[in-house]
Amino acid sequence: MIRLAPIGKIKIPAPLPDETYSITLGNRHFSFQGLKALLGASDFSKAGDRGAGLTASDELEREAARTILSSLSLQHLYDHPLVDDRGLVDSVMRVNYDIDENSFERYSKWSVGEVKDHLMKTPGDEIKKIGGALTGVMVAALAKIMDTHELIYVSRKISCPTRARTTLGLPGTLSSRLQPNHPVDDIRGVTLLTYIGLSMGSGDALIGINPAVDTVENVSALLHHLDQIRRKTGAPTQICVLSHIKTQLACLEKGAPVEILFQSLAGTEATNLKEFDISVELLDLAYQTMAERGPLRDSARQFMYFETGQGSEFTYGKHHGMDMTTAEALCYGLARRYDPFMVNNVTGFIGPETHLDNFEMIISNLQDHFMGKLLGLPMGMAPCFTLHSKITLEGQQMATQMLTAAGANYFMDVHLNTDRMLAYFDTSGHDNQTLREIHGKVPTPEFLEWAIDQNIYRRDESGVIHRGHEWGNPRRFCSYEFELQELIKATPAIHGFSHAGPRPTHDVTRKVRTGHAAGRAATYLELDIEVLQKIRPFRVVSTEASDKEAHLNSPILGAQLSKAARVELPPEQNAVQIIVSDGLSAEAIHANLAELFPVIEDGLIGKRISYGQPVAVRYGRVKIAEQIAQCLATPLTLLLIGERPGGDATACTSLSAYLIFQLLNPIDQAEAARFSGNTDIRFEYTVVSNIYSSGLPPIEAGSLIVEKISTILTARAAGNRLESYLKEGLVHD
Amino acid sequence: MKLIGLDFGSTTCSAIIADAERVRTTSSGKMELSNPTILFRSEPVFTPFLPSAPELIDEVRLRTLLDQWLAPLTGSAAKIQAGGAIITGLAAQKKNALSITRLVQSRIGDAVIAVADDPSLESWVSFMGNTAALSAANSQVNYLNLDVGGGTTNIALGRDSEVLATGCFWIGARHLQFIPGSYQLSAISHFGRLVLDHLKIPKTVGASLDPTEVDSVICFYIKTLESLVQGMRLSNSAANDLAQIPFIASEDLSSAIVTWSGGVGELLYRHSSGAELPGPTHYGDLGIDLARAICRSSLLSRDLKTHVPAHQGRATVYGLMLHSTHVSGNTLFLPKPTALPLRDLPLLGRVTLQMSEKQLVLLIARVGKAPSGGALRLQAEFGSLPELKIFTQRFREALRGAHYPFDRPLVLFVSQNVGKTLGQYITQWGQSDYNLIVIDEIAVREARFASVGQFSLGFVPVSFYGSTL
Repeated sequence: MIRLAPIGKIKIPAPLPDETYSITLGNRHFSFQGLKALLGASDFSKAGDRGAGLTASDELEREAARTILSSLSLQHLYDHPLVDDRGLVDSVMRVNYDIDENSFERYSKWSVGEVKDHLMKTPGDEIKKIGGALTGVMVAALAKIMDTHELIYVSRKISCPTRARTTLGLPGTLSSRLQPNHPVDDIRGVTLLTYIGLSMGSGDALIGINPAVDTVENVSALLHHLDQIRRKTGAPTQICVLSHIKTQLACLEKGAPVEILFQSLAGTEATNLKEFDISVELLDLAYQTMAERGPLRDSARQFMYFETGQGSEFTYGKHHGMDMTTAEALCYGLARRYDPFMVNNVTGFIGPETHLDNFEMIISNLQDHFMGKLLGLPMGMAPCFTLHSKITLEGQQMATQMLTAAGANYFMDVHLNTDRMLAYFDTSGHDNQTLREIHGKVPTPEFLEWAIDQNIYRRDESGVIHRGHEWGNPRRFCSYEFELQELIKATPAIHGFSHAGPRPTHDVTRKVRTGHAAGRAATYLELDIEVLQKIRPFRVVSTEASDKEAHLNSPILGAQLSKAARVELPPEQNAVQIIVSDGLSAEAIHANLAELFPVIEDGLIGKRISYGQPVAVRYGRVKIAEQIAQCLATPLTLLLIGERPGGDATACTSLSAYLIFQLLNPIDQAEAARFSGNTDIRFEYTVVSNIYSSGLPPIEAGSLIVEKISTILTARAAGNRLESYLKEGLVHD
Repeated sequence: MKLIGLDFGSTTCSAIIADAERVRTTSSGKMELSNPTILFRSEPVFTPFLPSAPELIDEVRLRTLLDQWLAPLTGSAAKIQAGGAIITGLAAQKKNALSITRLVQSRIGDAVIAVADDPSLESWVSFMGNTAALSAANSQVNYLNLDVGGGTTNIALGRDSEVLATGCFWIGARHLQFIPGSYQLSAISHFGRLVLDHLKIPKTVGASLDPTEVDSVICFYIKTLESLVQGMRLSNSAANDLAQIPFIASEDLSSAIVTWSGGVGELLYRHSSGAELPGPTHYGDLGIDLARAICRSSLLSRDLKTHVPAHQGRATVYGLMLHSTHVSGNTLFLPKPTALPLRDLPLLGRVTLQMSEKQLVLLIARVGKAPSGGALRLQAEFGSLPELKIFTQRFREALRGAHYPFDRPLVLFVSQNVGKTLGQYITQWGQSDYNLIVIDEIAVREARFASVGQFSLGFVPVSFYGSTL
């Protein structure tokens, strides 16, 4: 267990006013107001930074910024801590200053450019020492002046091994984090996906599930189940369920095997506190709890696991004027405090609003990997994408080739690249094995010996590792063929286990890619207003997104009503307002509304709840409902919106219902503020998701929604506050 | 959730306790209990009959057994949430069988069904416990499971893990009991006597059967089993007299796959896998002879090596534990959760969309006359909202037409995921005060009674029991 420096005792200089950084290149003069602007302009152009107005207007301006940045000393960066919107140093920035002061003293006078050149010339152990003297802002500055070769070359020299049951990050190894996610946490599906992964030599870093339902009961059940699989197969690895850190601690309290503790991190305190519901104090407590009571406390060197990725701060509007790379580096400065077992970077997960295309995703991944390694973190990489971006599987594969060359500790194994719960696309077990064979890598030593015993791998006479005859065969973990068939029945998007070398056979690949293509088509389908008007006369309003492309690439535009629309929606005296919007799948509206809407309407009439003429919004995002609710002064807004398409045709029709309670009454607002800790709270959300033929059928969803509307209006609360009232018996469904 | 299965048979009894998950099958979208982690599995022990009064089950020893079996569960873990206990075969014929079910119920709790002499349920749970997984994996083929115990052979035909037909016959190992290691008769049951008389073997307790007589008895049983497996009518009156519930299958059985369970079933699979069986009458009955004879019959043993169930021999107790409780969907219509639990609700009929108004009124009136209310099975798949609304209007009018008492529980079971919407439209979104509960995503088994457990964690457990024949 490491000793955590008390956060109040970390030395940090007082913030200084922004400086103006200027330079003339050729006949052009460039000027940047403050360090944040300089850092932003120094980076490659990426969607999130464009959205935040931080990118350089052209290549020459970018080079001007980089030239200035290269010339700044580390001391200058040290002396100018970046501040939040209130002009204050937040807790994440403060933790970033927990550095090796003696080592920093040695390099403080060096310019960013000199440090970069030194890294290129210096062996890995020395680089790690330098990393210990750097803050997140300093490593971000370095990343911004490095090219692709340099990002790979320096990263490759740095080794950051960690140890729990297996030892991650040793030279010559490439590990895998197995992610057997299932849309409804069906343990049979989880079991099958785990078996498939293990049979491909995946899971030596971790077997970890993102739960569909984040409750103590469900997460505990999943933990026990993974533990059971681990024991049954004998695979030397560790398990985790990636729920909120508070849920996991409650599970640990109840005796569940929380071997590795997970949490998503952001690079600003505001994002962590208000969006992720975590603080440095909570993370400190969690770390100490794991060190004292975690199941692996006596054997593992590390037991924390963080997930990060460029863009979350921007997406939540809490980046404080910092670019995505800098905010990401600050995440790593925070992660470093807890000496994690693994860090997983999921840049690309959010969508085109942060990373539009393959280049933006690839370069960000290389930067993130470099920055994390330089700060001494065990970086695993998950270059990933969603179907509403322009990133493709090919771009993802290119990223993995470069990241393997750069020495990434591990990649994800999401079977056939399609996450069945999160509707995004990650690397697969086939990808991992392909990379291992191309780059001469093997799993962790402990796992490799087990896999050789299982005939998943074989070692030839000269000690070279090859795929064994059981590679890719999940049957070996089933007692009977029918057991496998039962597991298959419970798992969506299983297209067969045949493989050609380390790749899926052509028939399997075609099915996967056809599913991707169908999902992309649903994303680009336009909302057909006529379909809606045939159900009921809708009021049609527009957002600031002028077309599909703008809508997909900028969530902010879809969350803002056009000026004309604001005029069209004067205050009304109704209890409920129904809004229908395409979101990320117009097909979801087309497929479900004809059955869903009449049930809701009948229910509202039957329960004598007043409602306004329904509103249709083309190119809308969830937050649009708040603006409409404010215009109409409606206490409860029901937004029916298309979900992000997954990897198969039926999942493209999945719809969500957001029930948004506007805290118009000061007493309700005060109560909600007290409950949430957010004094500015204006809305509370209850969500019914997964509405489609293979999930919650629209006919049944309609009456469920009406019941929830009735409960919210009676309780004058929604979301977690309503759930707590229900639990305490203060109100009833 | 914690599950239990308790099986008190003619020869032995056993218990199994497990933790299972409630899951939604992605393929069918139905809720079910799955992936049990066995917490405790007892060794089979002899069912405790009173030595001094063999017509009675020994309640004191049974209490001790229950205490031993439940001992591993302590504190909150001791709460059993679902499962079943069944007294079968010759044990179910004992005079105090019914009071034993009450004893078990009081010891384990309301969540568990406890029944005696319910041969259809036993056939059903044996199939579900033994053969359902095989059948689901090979869904186009009929499976025939024969659960041969000490007193009865329970037969069930199924396809794709659904039971299509059941039967029960007094064919078992312990109708003739012997001094172990010999064929000297120590006890003869009523049905054993019947077979001996039919075969003109006038021997009584104390006498020994000679090898020809043993062969005759075994041959009689084997021929009867062969007839059943072929779906043939039983040709002689003695065989017919052994039928507790006749087996009538409308399906072609010639290509059905035959599986076995029960005590004799377990011996069979052991024998076919090459294990040595003890000598004849080692257990003081005909079990070993029956097992060997079944192995010799090419008809009965045709699938013995190729379709081996995972829980051979313990099918009843496993099936009881996992399959006697059904779990509802998440969105049922339950305006007052305190209305549950409801025990021993009579299942009084099926509602179909084709029913006339008069038929619907009569059916609902029948439920209204039951003092504690009752349950109906809605056999319908709604293709559209208008279709559902028309039905709910008809149902509402029928409730009025039948003068259905407002306070009397009426439970409607439906397999489609539409329970909440059905209930809301029938009650006009809560405007009428009928004590209606609609439980969806439940496939109703043929039975006479249903028990509906308390609403917890978003669903209710439901059990069906009681033979309809």
